[in-house]
Amino acid sequence: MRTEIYNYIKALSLGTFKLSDERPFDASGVALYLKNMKSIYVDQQQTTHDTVVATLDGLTINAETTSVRVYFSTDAKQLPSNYASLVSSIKLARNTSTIRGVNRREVDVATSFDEDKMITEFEFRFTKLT
Amino acid sequence: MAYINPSPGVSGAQVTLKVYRVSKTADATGLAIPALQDVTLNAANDVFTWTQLDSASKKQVATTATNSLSMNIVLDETSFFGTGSGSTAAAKGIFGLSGEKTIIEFELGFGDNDDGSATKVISGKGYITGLAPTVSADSPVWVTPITITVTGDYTVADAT
Repeated sequence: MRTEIYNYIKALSLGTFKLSDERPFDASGVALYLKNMKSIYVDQQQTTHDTVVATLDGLTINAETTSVRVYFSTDAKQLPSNYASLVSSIKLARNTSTIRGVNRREVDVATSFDEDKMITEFEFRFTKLT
Repeated sequence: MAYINPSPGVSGAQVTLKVYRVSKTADATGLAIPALQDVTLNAANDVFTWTQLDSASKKQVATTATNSLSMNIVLDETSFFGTGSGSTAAAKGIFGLSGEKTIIEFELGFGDNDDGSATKVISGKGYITGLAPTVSADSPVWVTPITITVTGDYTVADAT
């Protein structure tokens, strides 16, 4: 899933933003997306399982949810002119046709502040039965 | 005293339901219904009620029973649609047995006791009814209820 999200964002017109190949690790205790403003980081995907159907002969059907987080930070005092359009475009990555076999596609967008930086975080979730 | 405590997925200790087309004699192999989600055995006696002038309460007595098995299963293609060749339960599948309205013989194994001993098997004859396969976008796996409308009495035996 991470690859598909990354490739989708790579194909967008990012304006003054850029897409990084790196995961958003901490460098000297500071997350990369805080050190490098207007750089988009796509985190490693996470997977959870929930049992949907349990049967008396041991068969279980699980819902496997894969989540991918995307981060970038901007100046909190003045947002880039293409901020709103970029957020809208990145949200549409949930509909990318290269991700198949899922019955649920969701995305949450949240913002937070670190001193004078605004962090924008996307969480994409894709669910399929296994 | 031992509680009946089936172990899902453990052969010989899990709940099992097997059906035979017409009879166990006519259909030696039968069809083991897989992926049971739940099973309910209904044994509902009818009640005759009357009143007497020398009693402040109604008198009741149990009369004939209406028996049935009801369950929900996850659809398995082979057991639901059958193998297609022959006149056995396995060949007809659950859908075929319902459609042709053939009498079936069933055996419901209750599983295992909590002390590891085998428990009982209830058998009888009836008809497959109440199929309603369903699927939804939120739950994209086919499931269906099944009712076996029982004709006659249940028979209880020890599991072999």
